[in-house]
Amino acid sequence: MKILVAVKRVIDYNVQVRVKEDGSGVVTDNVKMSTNPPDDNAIEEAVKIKESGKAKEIVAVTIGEEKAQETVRKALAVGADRGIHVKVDGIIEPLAVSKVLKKIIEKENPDLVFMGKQAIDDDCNQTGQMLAALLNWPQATFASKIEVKDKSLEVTREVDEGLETIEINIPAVVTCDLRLNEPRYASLPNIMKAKKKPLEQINASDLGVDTKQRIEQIKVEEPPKRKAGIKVSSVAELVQKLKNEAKVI
Amino acid sequence: MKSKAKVVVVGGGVVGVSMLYHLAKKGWSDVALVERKELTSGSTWHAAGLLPLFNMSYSVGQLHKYAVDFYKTLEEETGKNVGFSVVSNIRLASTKDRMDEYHQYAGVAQTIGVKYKFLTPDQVKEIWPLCNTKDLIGAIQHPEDGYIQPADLTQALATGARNRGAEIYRNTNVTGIKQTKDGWVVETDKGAIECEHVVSCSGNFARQTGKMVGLDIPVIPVEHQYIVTEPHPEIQKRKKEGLPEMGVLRDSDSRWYMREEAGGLILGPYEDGAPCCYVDGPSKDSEYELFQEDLDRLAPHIEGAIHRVPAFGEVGVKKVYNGAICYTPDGNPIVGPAWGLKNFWINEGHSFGITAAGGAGWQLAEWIIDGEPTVDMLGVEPRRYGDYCSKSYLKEKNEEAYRNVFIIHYPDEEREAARPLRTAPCYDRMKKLGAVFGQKFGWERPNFFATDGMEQKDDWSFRRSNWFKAVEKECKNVKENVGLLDMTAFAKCRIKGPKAEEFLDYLVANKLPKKIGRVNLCHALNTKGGVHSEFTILKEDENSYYLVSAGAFQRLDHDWIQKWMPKDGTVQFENLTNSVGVLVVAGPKARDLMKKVSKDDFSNENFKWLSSKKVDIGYAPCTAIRVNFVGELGWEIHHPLEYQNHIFDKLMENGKELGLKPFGIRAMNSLRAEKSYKLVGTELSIEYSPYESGLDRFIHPNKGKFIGLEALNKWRQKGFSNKLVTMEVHNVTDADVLGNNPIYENDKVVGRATGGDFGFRLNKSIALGMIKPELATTGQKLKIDILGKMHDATILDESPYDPENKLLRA
Repeated sequence: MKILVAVKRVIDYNVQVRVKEDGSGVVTDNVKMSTNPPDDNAIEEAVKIKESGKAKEIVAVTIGEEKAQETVRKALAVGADRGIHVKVDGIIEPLAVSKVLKKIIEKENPDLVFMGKQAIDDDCNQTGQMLAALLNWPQATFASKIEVKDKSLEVTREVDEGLETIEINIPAVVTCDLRLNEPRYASLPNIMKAKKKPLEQINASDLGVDTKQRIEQIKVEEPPKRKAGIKVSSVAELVQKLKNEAKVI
Repeated sequence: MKSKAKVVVVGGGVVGVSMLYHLAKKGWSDVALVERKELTSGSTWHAAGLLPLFNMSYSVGQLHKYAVDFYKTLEEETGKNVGFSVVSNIRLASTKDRMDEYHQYAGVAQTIGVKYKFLTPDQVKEIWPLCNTKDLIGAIQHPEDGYIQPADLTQALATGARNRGAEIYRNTNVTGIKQTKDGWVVETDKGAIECEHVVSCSGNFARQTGKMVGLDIPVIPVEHQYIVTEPHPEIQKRKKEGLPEMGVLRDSDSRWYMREEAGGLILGPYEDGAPCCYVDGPSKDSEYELFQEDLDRLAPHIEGAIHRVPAFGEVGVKKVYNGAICYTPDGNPIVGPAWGLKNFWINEGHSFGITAAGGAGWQLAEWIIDGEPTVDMLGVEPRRYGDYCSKSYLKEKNEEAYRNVFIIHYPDEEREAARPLRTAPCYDRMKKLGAVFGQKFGWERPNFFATDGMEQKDDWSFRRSNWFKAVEKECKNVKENVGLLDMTAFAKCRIKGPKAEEFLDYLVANKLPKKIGRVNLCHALNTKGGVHSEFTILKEDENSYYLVSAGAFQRLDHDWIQKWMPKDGTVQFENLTNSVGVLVVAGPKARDLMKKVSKDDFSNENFKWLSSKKVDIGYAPCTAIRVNFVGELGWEIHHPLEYQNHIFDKLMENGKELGLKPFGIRAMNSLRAEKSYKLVGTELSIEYSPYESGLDRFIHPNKGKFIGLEALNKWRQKGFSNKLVTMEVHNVTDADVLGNNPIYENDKVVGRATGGDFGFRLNKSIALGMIKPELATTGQKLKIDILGKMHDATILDESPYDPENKLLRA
């Protein structure tokens, strides 16, 4: 079995994101970037499946500017076998991503496609679903447990009501939840070795996919600042304020 | 928020908060600190928290020692745990030069009272079982240092400061700093604070803060990364067994530090190629900021670390921190008064800020409150830099300082970046003659001359190296014939005006030259009676004086003059450093040479020692001053810079048959040691009274009032604890005294060497040193440590070469 994992480079989750002064987006210059956290879970799950002997090869794919390669390198350091970097500059939307991935999948013929349930930068939560539709494959989203069976997967999903367990046929697209596993850290020798693993570069334009933006972004602004709290002097005052000002009791 | 305070500290990193704490501790409780975001949110929060006592500088060493001792007392005082782990630190050596460096450092440690221990590779293994010690030759250990939690330290200092009445305003932006008639106004987005003093502790914002008051502070941060691993089973096992932490490990030759962290390891390398960051300042919103990691850059050091500690490669990397650390061109911080601005203080450029914050706050508080520090602060003095520190210069030099953190600190090291920058006109001519240059205050100066097929390249060492032979030739030629030295880098200025004489008389402790054309060596003391500056003063005219001092101290000396100068226009100051060149001719044939190049009278009757004359050399108008720093017949030729090559060519042409050869700074150092001539920064310092430094004949306590007189008299009553002596060091084979060597009598440290060299004219290894006065008698036998080897030494009469100055007066 062959697993393809899609990974995205995003602003590191620890960074305090700053909005550009002209409202055209957020500041990314000189800002620490890393792999989208649920994508780490996707890679980890693929590596576990390979370690259990059920998969033979893991291919990590990313789409983005030159530096997005670092994300693939990181996947290679924790156990992916080879990487593909589809080069494209600027913002790329979920639909275009899905189309690019479809082209890659047609070439690679994987049995499973894993990715994070959503990216922490745009929070779209669309790519996995769109890709499944374009491929006409079954999908399992928000996976917190994956069991590989003979020709199918048993997937536990994190849904609003609780946990839902479904069985889907292979090939399939699975989007991963943070509860799926605990991603491992790469050791330094593996990070160094990852530099020697094959990484293929493809231009998005060579795949014949139109990556133009379809959504017009009007303005990016910071959420309104929270007002500072106050100290109340007594329980009675607190109750009074909760009743009359906050109107919660 | 207050509208008035005695001091406003700008910046709430560990440095600023320690500053505030120490001001309050010294009794100034009416002080405030303004921080744009949260305390520690610039660089303090991501610092690795190491407390290295190791430092080659006598002054920085004392600041570090203070800090480490002080931090240990903070919890008791404030009730806040600062997370000080006294785990010791070990520096490994895998080369002989590295061991030499540790031995040279051990001298500094010994003289300032820092405990250390030399370890064999087997002893290292005992303490650090995970360390591969196969290719090591030894190590030096500091049992008393370790690491601390930087944020906790800052909070404890803040508590201590608040308990003493100091106030801290967070989330308050400084928008402007304005000078008023009696002090300063610090304007913020929450209101203005009037104050007497401002201290800039703004870290990555140093240049922006400086700009508000027109200062170009030579600080630009550099990116530094450290790697944190997940727990390692071996280390967890040690913890379970109750074994102590293995301590901080430094592999200097592989350029990294390592320590335990939550069962895993931290590795911090100082790699090539780390770029400057925040070159134009951080963004106004910057807070708790980290940059993209770049492990590729660290590859050789990571390999080195895995070789040394294989366990480090066996576990995963949990996190890589890449954050800004402030740097200066020499890697030492900038602590002291700003130049040209009254009561504006700088506490910036800290690349080892956690360690330095304690001592910097302590000494700067003394400086602000008492007017002077007690520790010689030349190593961190803001005025050690000049306006040659352009932004592009800083960028290159600071990156160089970063990658050289773990370089072997050879005493004769000269760094390459951003050179040549300031050159005397004769630079190319000197280069053709074989000059190997060094850099001081941006100026290129010949250190020595590679001749007779020798490679025109420096050769750094703690011992005698290739240049030793070249210096021997230069010294002997000065003794036998005549030598030429370029001293254009000297700081020069003119002080004139109706009150010039009165002012200078108050500035220095010696009597001023009375007759026009006469020259005196004069020392400016600080208000505590220590030696601040040394000037050669020439009386050019009634109420016009020409002052020459060491090139490295141009800004310091000139700022000192201007600080004390009357502001009513009765005294004028003119900096002549960049318009006047200086060539020195010295040697028994100097007079013959002058006769050949000038028609003026250079005879002994008409041109006495310590006098000057306006003369022509070739066609060039010059001032010849009959003084020099090497103890031979000679003249300093001061000239408008544009004539330098004309003069140079005339001298070289006419000097050929007299054996004229150029000589460099290293020869000068050897020659001056034989004459017991003193240098500011080593033999002369604010820590020593002029009497201790043997300047008795230049000090006239009865001449009338001068700066430092009162304190000096008190000091004298109290008694002195040092005396400068010149010693011969016996049985020296390949290494002479470099300075900071401990001096012993009966196995007890009784002093420290300030400098030394081999004296070729005397054929003796010479050391200058400060020892206990009761031992300072000619013939006294002592012992002195050179690179870990004990040598016998004997005190000589002062100026062992030509003690009666017959040659100077010839």
